[in-house]
Amino acid sequence: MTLKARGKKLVYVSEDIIDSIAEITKKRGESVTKFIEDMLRQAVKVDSLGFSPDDISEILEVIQVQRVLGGTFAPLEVLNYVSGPDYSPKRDQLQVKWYESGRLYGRYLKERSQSPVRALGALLRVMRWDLNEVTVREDEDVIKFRCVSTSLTVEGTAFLAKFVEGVVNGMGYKIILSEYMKGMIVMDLKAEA
Amino acid sequence: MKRKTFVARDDLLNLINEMAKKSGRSQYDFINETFELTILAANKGANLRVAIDEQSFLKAARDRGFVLGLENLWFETAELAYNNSKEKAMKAWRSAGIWFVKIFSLEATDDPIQSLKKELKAYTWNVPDLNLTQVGSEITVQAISPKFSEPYSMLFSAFLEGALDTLGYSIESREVSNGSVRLIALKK
Repeated sequence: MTLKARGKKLVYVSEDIIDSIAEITKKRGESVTKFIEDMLRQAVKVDSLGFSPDDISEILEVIQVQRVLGGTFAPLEVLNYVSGPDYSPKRDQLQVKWYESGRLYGRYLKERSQSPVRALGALLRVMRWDLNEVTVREDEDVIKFRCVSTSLTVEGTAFLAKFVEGVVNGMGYKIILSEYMKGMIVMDLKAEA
Repeated sequence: MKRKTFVARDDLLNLINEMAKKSGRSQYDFINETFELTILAANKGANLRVAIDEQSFLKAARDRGFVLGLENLWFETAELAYNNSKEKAMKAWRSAGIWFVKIFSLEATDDPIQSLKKELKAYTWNVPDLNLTQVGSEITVQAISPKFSEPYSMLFSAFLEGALDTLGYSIESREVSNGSVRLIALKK
């Protein structure tokens, strides 16, 4: 943005949001006007990069979880290799590890997120780029979870299903229906009483 | 809901107006949503700029064939793979290193070694000490992490070797132990 002189306009915003902004700027020692201007500039950037505000919100959630729990990157090729047929004898052992890893995420999401199931959707969308679709839908007191991938192997799907099972159990949900086949996981969940 | 007013630059507001129209929302709703997002970020100790950078970074990681997960799961899985078949596991990690370099080499880069250094630092954020130095035709890579078991160090070394080989370097010296990898490679 250039720094030439520009006009100003008055804009309406809800009172509680302006109050929250005032609190943040007070803590940071910034002026409200500068903070708001920076915010608007970032909003323009978010849009120009083709991200939606929801994308950014999900990223913030997931990065926070990864930082706290010790997330790291692994090459997908390696992951596919250890899910492959060579590992059939170790499959049970590996599934336990995927389940336990999921439980840790689940326990954390339960503590941190107001909507842990929605956060699970975000987590999978950001962590697992080999998934084409992740949907979490509430149907009265049942939560319907579905994820689809055109590139996941049968074994890879089984590990991911164990991971998701661990997450939902860790969040305090019981699984009332669980089905998976190559590239697709479908689960119905209900909060434990 | 009560409303308050604030003063903002009209050029920014014009852009915001266009964006709001594009997304079928009113300027009031759009600005409120943006502000809510910024407050959410601030309450998480982050800011929108960091989130944008991280989103771009994660998109790049996807293009390079990475997935995110807990490091203890990756470490344990890697060890299991190594103990099951050392040779096959090393081959898989080496092949991942080759793929890693091939992907970023597709993008125009004047200095592939600097690119490797940058990419390695970005995607191995769990390695507290990772250095790549180039002196003439010699490259030294050193990775130190107290969390690396010996099998994981071996596999990480195979990944690095795959990457260096693809860039036209052959391994002259290799020191791999619990928590540390040090490779010296020479231009072929």
